[in-house]
Amino acid sequence: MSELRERSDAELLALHVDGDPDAFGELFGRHRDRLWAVALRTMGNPEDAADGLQEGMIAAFRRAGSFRGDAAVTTWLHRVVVNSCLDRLRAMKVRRAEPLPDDLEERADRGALVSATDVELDPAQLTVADERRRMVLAALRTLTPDQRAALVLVDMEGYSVAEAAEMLDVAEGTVKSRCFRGRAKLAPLLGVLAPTGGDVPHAGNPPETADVPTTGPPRGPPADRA
Amino acid sequence: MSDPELTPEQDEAVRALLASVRHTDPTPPEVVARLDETLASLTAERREVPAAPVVTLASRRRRRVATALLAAAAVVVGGVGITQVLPGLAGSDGDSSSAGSTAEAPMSADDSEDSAGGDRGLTDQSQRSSSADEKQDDSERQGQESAPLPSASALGAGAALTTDEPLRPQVRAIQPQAPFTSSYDAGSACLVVAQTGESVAVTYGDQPGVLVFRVPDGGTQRVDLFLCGRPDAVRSLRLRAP
Repeated sequence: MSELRERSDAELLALHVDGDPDAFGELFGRHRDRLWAVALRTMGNPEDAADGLQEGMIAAFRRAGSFRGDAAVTTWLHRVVVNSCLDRLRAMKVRRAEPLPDDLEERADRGALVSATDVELDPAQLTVADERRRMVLAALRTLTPDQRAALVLVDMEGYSVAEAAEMLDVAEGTVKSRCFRGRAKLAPLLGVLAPTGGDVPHAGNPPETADVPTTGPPRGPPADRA
Repeated sequence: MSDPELTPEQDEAVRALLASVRHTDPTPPEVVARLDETLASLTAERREVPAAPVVTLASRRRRRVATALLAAAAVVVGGVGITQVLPGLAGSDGDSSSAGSTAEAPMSADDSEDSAGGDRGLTDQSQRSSSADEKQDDSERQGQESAPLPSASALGAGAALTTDEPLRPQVRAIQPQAPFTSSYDAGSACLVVAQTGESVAVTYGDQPGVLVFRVPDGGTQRVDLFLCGRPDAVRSLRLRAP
């Protein structure tokens, strides 16, 4: 086996506890992007997400010695970061009156309005996807922080209910309940309950057609919306 | 209004919509820079403040007991010291020269045996000191014994003492030997609080103070002990007037 094998998360955390000055940075760097995604979706905007992630990182750095090893290190890191975000949300008590999409401006600066997997879409499709993203994120903001965190972990990030329960430090049944209630609250906002011909509605947006103008500003409303 | 009950299809549609807005981009560079900066300060802070040494409860208890013993010893030594200068409490034996040299206070028969053998009641460890040190100690003791000290036993002669005349030269002998005289100017600091009467610098335990012999009144004379920096007398007694 190579001597340069990658050290495991648990090894890095143990090294950090023993005083290694670089171990925690390496460990956090491994999971930073996913932790950022969770913080961003939980908090709803990049500024608060950065604050939540930073506070979570500080807490993890200082509380590393309390890690008991009965869960994966990444689960523990998620728990610390999510708890920091939820604490911030509870403290803020939803001060913002107008929900805004969390990362659209950031994406616009980089010339992409949707994720990297959408690069093949034409501008019309990008516009539709952009609108859908706005709508989902705005609807997500109407949930309680606990419901939002559960849905972010389970439905967005794809963690199992058991993993999410560990991250949120609650019972699995609690996670299921929060997800169930959260989806039920989102459904009307997303147009899922609207009467259709039978197929699952597509977030209340019009079907993607070539009729969508391609010359307008990329962030404008769909032209054929009634 | 209660939330609607979703069919499995509707539930799956909501989940699909949520999954479609999953954030997959990397952490923005400005956030990465901020995190790196925070991490650097945390690491630096950790280097500057090493973990405090763990103090076990047992060692803390031992330290507390030692402190209590030390305090008790100081009280005993202080008590012996004051009895040497206050005849109403006790006298002094010939082997003890001053209140300042409290370690030499006679306490037991063992001490008198040590004294007879030329030792001064030192511990076993100090008994193993070099002969040169012993000679120096002997010469010091001889110098102290040259003062006209009372020879009565500390406890036995107290009741028979009718005047403080024998006490006065002893108290005066304390002054030049007091351990604080070189670093503490009792004459300038403690006399501020001294009252009317004859003041003599003394130590009470390890604290400098002043013994004030009041003007005799009606056949008795009051003696007050003041500790430096404290306005009130900490000990008082009456002697038969000289």
